[in-house]
Amino acid sequence: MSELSINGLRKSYGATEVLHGLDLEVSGNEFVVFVGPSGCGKSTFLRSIAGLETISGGSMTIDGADISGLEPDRRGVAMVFQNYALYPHMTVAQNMGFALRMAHVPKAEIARKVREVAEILQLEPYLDRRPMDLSGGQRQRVAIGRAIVREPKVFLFDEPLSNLDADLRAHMRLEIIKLHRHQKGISIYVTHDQVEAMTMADKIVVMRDGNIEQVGSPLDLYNEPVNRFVAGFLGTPRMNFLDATSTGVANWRLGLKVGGMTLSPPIRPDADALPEAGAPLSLGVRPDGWRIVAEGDGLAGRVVHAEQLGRETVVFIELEHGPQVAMIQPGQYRLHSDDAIWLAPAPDELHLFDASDAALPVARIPRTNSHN
Amino acid sequence: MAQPPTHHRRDTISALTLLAPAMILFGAFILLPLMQTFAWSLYRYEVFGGVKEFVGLDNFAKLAGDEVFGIALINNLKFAVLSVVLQVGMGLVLAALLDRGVRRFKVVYRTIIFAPILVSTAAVGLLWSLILNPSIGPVDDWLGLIGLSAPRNGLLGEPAFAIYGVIFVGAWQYTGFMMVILLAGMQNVPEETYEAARMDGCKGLRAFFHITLPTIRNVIITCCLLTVIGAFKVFDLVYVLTNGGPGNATEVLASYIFRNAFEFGQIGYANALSVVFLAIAFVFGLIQFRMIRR
Amino acid sequence: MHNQSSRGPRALTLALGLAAVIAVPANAQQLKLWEISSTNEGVNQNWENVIAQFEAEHPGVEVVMETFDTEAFKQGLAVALTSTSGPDIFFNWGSEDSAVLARNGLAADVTDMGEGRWLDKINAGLLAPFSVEGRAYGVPSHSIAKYMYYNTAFYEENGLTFPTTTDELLAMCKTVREIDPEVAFTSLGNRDQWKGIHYVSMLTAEYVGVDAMLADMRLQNSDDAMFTDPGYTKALAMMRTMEEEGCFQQGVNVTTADMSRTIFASGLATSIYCGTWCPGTFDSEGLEGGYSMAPFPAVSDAPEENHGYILGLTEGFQISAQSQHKELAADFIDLILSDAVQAERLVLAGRIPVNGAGVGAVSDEVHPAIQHVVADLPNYKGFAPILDVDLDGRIVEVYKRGIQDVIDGRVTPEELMAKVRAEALAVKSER
Ligand SMILES: Nc1ncnc2c1ncn2[C@@H]1O[C@H](COP(=O)(O)OP(=O)(O)OP(=O)(O)O)[C@@H](O)[C@H]1O
Ligand SMILES: [Mg+2]
Repeated sequence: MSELSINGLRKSYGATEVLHGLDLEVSGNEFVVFVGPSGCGKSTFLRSIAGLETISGGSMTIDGADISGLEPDRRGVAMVFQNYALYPHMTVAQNMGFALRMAHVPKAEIARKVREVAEILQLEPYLDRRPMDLSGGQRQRVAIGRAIVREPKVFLFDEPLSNLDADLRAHMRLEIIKLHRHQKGISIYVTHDQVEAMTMADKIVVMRDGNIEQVGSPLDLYNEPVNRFVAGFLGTPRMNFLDATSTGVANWRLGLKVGGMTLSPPIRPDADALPEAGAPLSLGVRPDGWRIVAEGDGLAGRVVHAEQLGRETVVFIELEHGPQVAMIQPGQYRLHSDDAIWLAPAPDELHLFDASDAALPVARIPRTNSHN
Repeated sequence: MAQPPTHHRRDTISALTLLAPAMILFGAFILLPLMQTFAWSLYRYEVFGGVKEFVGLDNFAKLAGDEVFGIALINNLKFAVLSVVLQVGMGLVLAALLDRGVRRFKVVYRTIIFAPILVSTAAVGLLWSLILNPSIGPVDDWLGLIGLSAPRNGLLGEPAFAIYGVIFVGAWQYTGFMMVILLAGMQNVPEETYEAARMDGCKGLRAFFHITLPTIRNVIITCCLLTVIGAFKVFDLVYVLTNGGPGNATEVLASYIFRNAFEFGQIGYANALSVVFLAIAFVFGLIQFRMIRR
Repeated sequence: MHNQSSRGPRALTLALGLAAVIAVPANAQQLKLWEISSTNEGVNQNWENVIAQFEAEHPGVEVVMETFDTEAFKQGLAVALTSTSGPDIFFNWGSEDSAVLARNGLAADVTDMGEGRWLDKINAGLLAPFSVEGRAYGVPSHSIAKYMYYNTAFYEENGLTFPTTTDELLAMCKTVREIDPEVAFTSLGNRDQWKGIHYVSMLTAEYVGVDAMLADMRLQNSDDAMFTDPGYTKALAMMRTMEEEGCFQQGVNVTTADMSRTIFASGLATSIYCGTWCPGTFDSEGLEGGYSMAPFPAVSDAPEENHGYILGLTEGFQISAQSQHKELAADFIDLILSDAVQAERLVLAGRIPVNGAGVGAVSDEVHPAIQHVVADLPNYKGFAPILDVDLDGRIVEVYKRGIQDVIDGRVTPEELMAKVRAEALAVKSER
């Protein structure tokens, strides 16, 4: 059981601060996935932990020991790079054993460990090849093997699968998770790919502009995003956002006007500051949160395009008074372009955000359409 | 059914048409002279007397007993070995410093170190023969500063040192060039590779030996080959620095071939020398191809 | 000589012969002149004048001048001379270059044509470089020579007179060092080896004698006599002695001819042995006339009769053995040697005349040093041969490189002469 604790981590390049005091606690064998838009500081954060960047403030400890002043190889961390960063002139075995060689581990010992790891990664047939003679997936496995051999407490992955094709990515995803379970350490994994984030993570960290926006399990983040950014970031197709106006709070319900439709979702009892009547709000509905309703019952729209996937149907709809939205319906719907359609959000699939994009505490219990 | 072969033939014909000019040029300017060199090496062929008679391997027998040829060959070998050490060695050190050591004014340093290659060999030779001249050059004063004294006749005036003086000047001129090639190679090593090495506990000098050198191995081999070939072809530098002297001390193959052909008019013998020269170049070329990895 | 002849020249000869048959000259007498091409205006102007004058004096005669660059000239001359379309008169160096044509019967014997012509104008001794076995095969038209130039001020200020013998020279080397240890008696730039062999040529001429030396150089002596005269080693020994006595500046063999002139001009050496083309350099390097000229000091232990030669070379003209107009050609050469033409060649083309009689009239148009040379040259018995001009290239190579070793004391004079002799025998056996 390892424990990684990061407090107030700051990093500046010259006068520009790119990490603004990050806090993170990871314990046990958690698989933590970092997501966030390009340039938000994910790599910088990872590299700071690795010791490839000197930090400008804050502290980092692993199992209680401060690592911020240590050389990368003394931190008990290993990193897998996006471009593999294998040593082109060394064989697979030499690549994997390099760290041990640098640490003056006896040759026999190195050979034994390399063989062990190669077995786990099914790399045995390739031990004498050079990276150039391997496929992308094999190279990535070598890169992972090189990390494993060192038996680190923390594995760092910076977009390790982004150079692989979709099939291989799916395959490697599974392998990495299996490995993680097997190795028993902390893994911190940076990705652009939400499917990776959702499927692999014990804990997802969403970053934006050098800040952590939200930390939580994939479903927590999916179900209860703390703000519009997180809500929009996870899930494909993205959550749909519609402009709404508050009509005031009554009986623990918040009155809403969206286009020609009115809604009144229940408010959680712990809610404090609630929007006054007339306040502009944002209504968020995930694509699978729409219901098709009878003509005149919800929001009017026209089908732009329907993707028939067999098990489900993805429909893009141009709303009469609003943006284009995406809808996913299980089963097969024979919809055509320009067909008129009426939609309403399912009551338990409804997210509300105030003018500062913070989520409003909507109580999500099943309800019928407020149609009266 | 007849279509594909026709197609094929037409392709072959057009390929040949495209290749023809290159083949003709290759044949006319490389193959023929090469064959002629081999042929003439078997003749006693003297332009001035108009002699041309087949003598078999006589020229090669004569060559084996030719004292000056021996001196020249050894000088070329010294030139090759030491130039590799100095030019590629120093070039590597400088390139490594510029690649990962020095942080500021890189371009300035690089330009200064590269500059000598831009100066013509004639000018470099003149410059250094002035500097190294014991009567008018400052080298005695310089050596005095570190408590040494130059040989009485100057570095280039003593047969024991002269060839090393020439090699030094050659290195002075070409090290910057080697540095630039090696630096280009080093800059192709991805930063991530060094970071991976750092994670594995390998940085600084160790990274240079474990990562940089092996990664740019082919570039180094190419540089070595360039230097060795250059060392065997060297002519102008020797000509302007020592003119082969004192005595025959700094004689090299190229100038000896040239003199035999154009000053003594011994075309056959000069061609025999050339054949030996070609054989050496061929061996080095072969070694390089063997050593280079994909 | 060799019995194998290459096919090239023969085919060329044939072609030239055919060309000659087709282009049969008209009745008018045509005199064909071959010369090295020059970009110098003065040289070309002079030729126009001379030809115009000749044609005026010989009505019905047309002089056709053809010029070539040096290499083409050297390669084409022998071939052309075997054909009927070759020149009647042609330029040549007073050296082996002209002698070889004489020996092969390609140059006409002009010994008896000089009577009433050039022999009235120049000393018969000057014909020696164009002579083979006592017969003349060419006539010199101008010359190149080497003198000792010395720093006038240095010798005057120190009350010294420039040495006239090698004994005085060796003493002077010491005197100069006593006055200023940094200054050498003379500056020698032997990096490219020809300066050294020029010294040795002059010294050897003194020790061995011009005729004996030429016989060796032309490989005419018997095998066991060739290059055996003890004078050869004495000349080399003198070079070593001069080096040991500190006569030269430091680093003789790494100093180029250019540098040696600079060393002299800047006062680091009191003298320099240099050609008639050198004064211009001294002037441009800042010495501006501050130099005087003297003959190379007579070698004290050399036979008396060998004194009085000057190291130099004449260039001149030969007549083709095939020429149909030998008398006319001799007239033309005689015109080149006339007082007026010689003076004009000096002024317009910088050619040092072999006949200086007309020079007085043009003296203000000529560099004072050149005037000195013109006045001085007739005082000599003749030219001492230059080893690297007349000797076979391979022998020269051994000789001149060896001189570097001798100066530095790595090789003894005897050892070097043994090598020179061996090379000479090898070359001779291949002829
Ligand atoms: N060496 C540097 N000097 C200055 N700024 C830098 C440097 N490296 C990164 N940055 C800046 O720091 C910020 C964070 O970069 P970082 O590479 O961590 O982003 P990222 O989240 O990994 O992006 P991506 O998903 O595209 O890989 C970016 O704005 C980037 O421009
Ligand atoms: Mg990144």
